[in-house]
Amino acid sequence: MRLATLLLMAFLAGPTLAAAEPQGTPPSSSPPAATAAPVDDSFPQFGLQLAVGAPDGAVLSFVYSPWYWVLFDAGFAYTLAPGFVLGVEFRPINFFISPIVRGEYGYYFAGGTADQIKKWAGVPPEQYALIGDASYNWWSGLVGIALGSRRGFTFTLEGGVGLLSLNVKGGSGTINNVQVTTAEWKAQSFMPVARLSFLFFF
Amino acid sequence: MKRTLLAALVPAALSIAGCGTFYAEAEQPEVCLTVLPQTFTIPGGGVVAPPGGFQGTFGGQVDLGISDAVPDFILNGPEQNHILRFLSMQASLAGSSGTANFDWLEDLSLTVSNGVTTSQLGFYSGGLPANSRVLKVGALSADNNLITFLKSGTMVLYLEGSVAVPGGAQVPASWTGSIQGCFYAKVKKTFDEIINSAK
Repeated sequence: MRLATLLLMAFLAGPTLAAAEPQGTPPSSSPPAATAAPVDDSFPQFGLQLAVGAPDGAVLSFVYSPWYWVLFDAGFAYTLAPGFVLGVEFRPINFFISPIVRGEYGYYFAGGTADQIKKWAGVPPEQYALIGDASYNWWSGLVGIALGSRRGFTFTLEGGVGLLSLNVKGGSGTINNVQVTTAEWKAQSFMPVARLSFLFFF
Repeated sequence: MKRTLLAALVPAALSIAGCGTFYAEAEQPEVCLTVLPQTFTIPGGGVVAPPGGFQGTFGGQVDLGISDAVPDFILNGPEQNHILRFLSMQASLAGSSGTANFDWLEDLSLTVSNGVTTSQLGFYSGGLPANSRVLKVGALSADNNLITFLKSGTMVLYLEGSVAVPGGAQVPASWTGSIQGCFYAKVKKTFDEIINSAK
């Protein structure tokens, strides 16, 4: 029942995206000469974006948009450790409200991540030595909605799925008089992701 | 406008419905536990073997003591998603051991028990180079799973060996060595399981 509802929603949403036309596109009955108008020239190509999300954390990005419907971003991220996020985003409709399709890759270097893992997982202090430095990366696909002007400020809300990989160095310690040595290990999660961003084109 | 909003709601709906699909898993390719040196007595040993040679057996147990050190969330859940696999056991003669090498060892069986269930993990049947001070035994089965033993709160390794010494040679009275067990571990949990276990 739940799956059927989701399929129905996806079916209804699909034609919306497919049928959507950029607002600047003239009607199909217009003379061919009118479609050749360089509408993209009037859109600013560079922007600055502040995003927060999971697993993104807080990200400050530079945005480059060669055409109004596609945006590339590269940003510096910092949450538990420093990192970076790269993304590509499609906004097929040039209107105050527009759907978004986004793909991104992120990487966080080793920093305070391992300390947080120990706390969140409730690892006893005597076992801390078994968990070394940790870094993580993820791939995610998101869809969402953008509100605002493509020539100025926009606010976006996105959600989707992601595959996150956590890479943890091993360590060595003594527990109950037993010497324990762990090799480098890995954790992976297929998880929901969410993102909120504020973008200003200049 | 209405349809655009609907398109934005799809990912949210997918996220809510997907709690059984979403998962987190951790994989530890090798964790090795080394216990303090232990002494294993060889009954009838400590003498010179008679002309026909000496045949005997010995046994002992090693408590790895990790059962209470493993968090519950790693242990609880379906067995196919909670794996603790035996990889190898290594015995190293201590400097103060009553014997200089393992030349007298004919075979060695390694089993695990929780008091109710017993399972054979490895078997050594000879072939060690002369004067070896280190013995390594691999897993009999590559897909063994010891999580049941760990869940029960007790995981004891049992060593049972045969001794063969040619006539006229000294039979050791005991041997002392450190025992190291290496394991592979993997845990997978769906978000449903994680949410339910947190309630």
